[in-house]
Amino acid sequence: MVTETTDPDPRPVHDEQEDPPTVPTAPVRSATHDRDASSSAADDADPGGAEGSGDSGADGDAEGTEGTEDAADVVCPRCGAAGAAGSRFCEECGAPIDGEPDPAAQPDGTGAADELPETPSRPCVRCGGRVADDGYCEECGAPAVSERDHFEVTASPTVGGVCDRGVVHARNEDALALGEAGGVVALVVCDGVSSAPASDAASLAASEAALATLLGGAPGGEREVDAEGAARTSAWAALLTEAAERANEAVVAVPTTHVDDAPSCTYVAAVVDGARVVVASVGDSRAYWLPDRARAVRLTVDDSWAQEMAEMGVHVSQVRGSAHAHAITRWLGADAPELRPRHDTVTVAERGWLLLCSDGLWNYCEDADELGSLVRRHAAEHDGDATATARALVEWANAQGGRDNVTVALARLGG
Amino acid sequence: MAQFTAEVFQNEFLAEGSTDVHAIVRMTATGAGTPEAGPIDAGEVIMIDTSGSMAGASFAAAQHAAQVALDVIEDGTWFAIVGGSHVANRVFPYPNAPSSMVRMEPAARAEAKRAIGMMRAGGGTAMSTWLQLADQLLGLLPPGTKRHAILLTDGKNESEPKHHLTATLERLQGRFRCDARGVGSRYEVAEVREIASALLGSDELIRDPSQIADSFRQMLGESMARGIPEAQLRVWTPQGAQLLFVRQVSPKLDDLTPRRTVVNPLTAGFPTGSWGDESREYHVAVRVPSKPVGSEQLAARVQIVTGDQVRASGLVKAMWSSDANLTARISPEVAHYTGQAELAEAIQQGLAAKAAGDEATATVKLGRAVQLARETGNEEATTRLRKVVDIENEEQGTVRLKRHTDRLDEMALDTVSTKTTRVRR
Ligand SMILES: [Zn+2]
Ligand SMILES: [Zn+2]
Repeated sequence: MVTETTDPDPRPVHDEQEDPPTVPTAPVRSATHDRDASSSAADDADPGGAEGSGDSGADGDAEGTEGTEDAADVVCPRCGAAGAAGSRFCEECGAPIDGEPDPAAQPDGTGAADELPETPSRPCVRCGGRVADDGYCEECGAPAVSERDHFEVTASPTVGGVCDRGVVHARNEDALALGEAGGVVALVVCDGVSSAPASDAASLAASEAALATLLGGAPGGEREVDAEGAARTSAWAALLTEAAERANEAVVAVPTTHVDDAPSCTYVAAVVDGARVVVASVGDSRAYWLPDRARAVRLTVDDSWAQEMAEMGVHVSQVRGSAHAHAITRWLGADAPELRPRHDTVTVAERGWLLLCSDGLWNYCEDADELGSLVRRHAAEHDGDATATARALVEWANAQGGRDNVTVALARLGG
Repeated sequence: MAQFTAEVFQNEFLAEGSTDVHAIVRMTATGAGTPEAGPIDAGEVIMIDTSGSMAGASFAAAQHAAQVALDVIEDGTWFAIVGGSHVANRVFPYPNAPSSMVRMEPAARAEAKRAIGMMRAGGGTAMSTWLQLADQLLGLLPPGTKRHAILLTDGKNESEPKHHLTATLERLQGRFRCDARGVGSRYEVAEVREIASALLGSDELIRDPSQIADSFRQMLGESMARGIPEAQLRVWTPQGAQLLFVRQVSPKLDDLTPRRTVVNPLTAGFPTGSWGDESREYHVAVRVPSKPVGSEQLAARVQIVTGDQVRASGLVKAMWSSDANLTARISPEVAHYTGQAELAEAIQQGLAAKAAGDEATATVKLGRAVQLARETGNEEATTRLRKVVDIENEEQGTVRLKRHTDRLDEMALDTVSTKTTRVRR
């Protein structure tokens, strides 16, 4: 089924307002679009429509801000996603779109072609400098990167994240989605499995589908979590599992030409509801609770070959360096094993950072306490701003070699 | 409408930990013969050495050459003739004329030829005074005028301390272009080179006075064809980088580094003077902080600018790689011009040592020059080296100094040392 691809496509925008209304306001992508013409028609018929309707609030917002769609769309040559006419890059996968737009949809005379304003390129993601027409920063010389290769999401000064291609990889297959609604914060990190094609599109679709589901649990949301006490924690855990299912469906729906190598990704998500933090994960992306004055707590257990070896009593040193060391044993995708997210819960009693990250970060800092120091050090240098701190951590990972995509999501908890 | 293009030759791949990026950037102007907005105003000043040493055949030939040169100067061009000894004199327009420069037209041409014929040789040599007068004259012309001068001498700049000339050249930099010529065997190659280099012109040795006229004709013909009055080379380097050097490597070697001006904190500017249809190549070296393997970064933007308009831009890149096959390669262009720069240095140091009587150093340096000339395919240098040394083994650079050499041959070798050959393909 391709239908749930009419999701609101929450998409990082950089200037999220701080006080959201009670309607879930995940950050929305700047231009709405359908992946294909049939999906909107099939929408209502789909059993997933229940969840689909939950998105309508955000969906409506997005449509309200963007007038045109459909008529002027172009289709990504790599992942098949639709984009606004004049787009230079696919919003799903970041592939350059240089082919001719669908001739049937070519709006000769509608002015769409004329108003291709030389979109002022966004500032350099490394230093904030101006990016020249030749594609390099005028300050630091870094090459411009596509929106897909580096994006930042800020829900508030204390909740934000950065997703980056890193140094070595050609594509960014990590994804990040986070938002805040009715006092509930939700964060999602997905890491595309690079051996599978279109995993960059898969991870983005997964993170966005999961976030929409999770924010539906906020007060006033479609799936408002209203139990109390232990039942409340269980309700969030159930919603985190459901979000994983929605994410899995989104991954399965990503078009691919390779039947025997389905797009796939990891999943780690966290909900912050008052002092309660509930986490779920599939694969090896991680969540940590890093209190300022107590020992760091890793909230996730990897679904990985290395972890399985460890559980069998094999020492870490023997696992490291093995070709399988980074292989994961569970993931989201059409060829995934039975979906069984692992859960954990922590009650926040003091100030600290909640960190979600892909292995692009933790591979450079396996020790949880060291990771805590690293986060605090960078936070201190950036006045405790979550997005700026995440950006600094991404830069740090890149300076260590940036051998993988790197995603960092942070929430400052405990006041 | 003149067009510029930029081409970059480099190996952008750097090994882990490497920091230095080298590139050869070729700037080519086409269509420069047709001035951008109608005919451009141009001014020409011809400086003739009138010191006592000139008396005789040289002086007569120089007078003749200056007269021939007037025929090449197009009607409408501002011009003046300067006679230079220990002082500078305006020969034409006459000292009592109402205007210091006049536009060329048939009557002015005829009168100027007459004035040149009346010049007399006598006195010493203080070239800074000649250049200052040329600057005063050209400075009278409206902004945007293409300013060009030629200077002919036959002797050393012996009537003033050396630093006078150097200081004057520093002050006049960028104000006009000056091509400098030495005639005969008594002038100082390094002095003529210093003038030409500082004032963005060419320098050459004229062996025989009979060749002066052809040389003048050629210089003025080329000057007339330079439709771009002034262009600036700009080199942007990223924050935290260091511009190690910028040198012109073709058609002749000229270190631009000392002429660096600040365009903005990240961009250095270097005057390049006027352009005709031609290519010039620059060796740019930048030191950037090392980055992790896989990183890409722009190490330099090398641009040619007229007015405030960027006419062409070449990108020098750095990409760190762990693939030794990629990082070990040296760009043939960079290697070639690095060798040619070393060749020039070896020739100049060898000749200086020989002049100072240090035969051991001269033998080693000129031997190295023979080797480098062979490696870089500079046949003109090899031919001229053969007149100064006997080559025992060209490949290994073993030579013996010739016992009796013509000073003119040594001067010709010195002069040609900065002229480079293009990369063999
Ligand atoms: Zn795409
Ligand atoms: Zn930058």
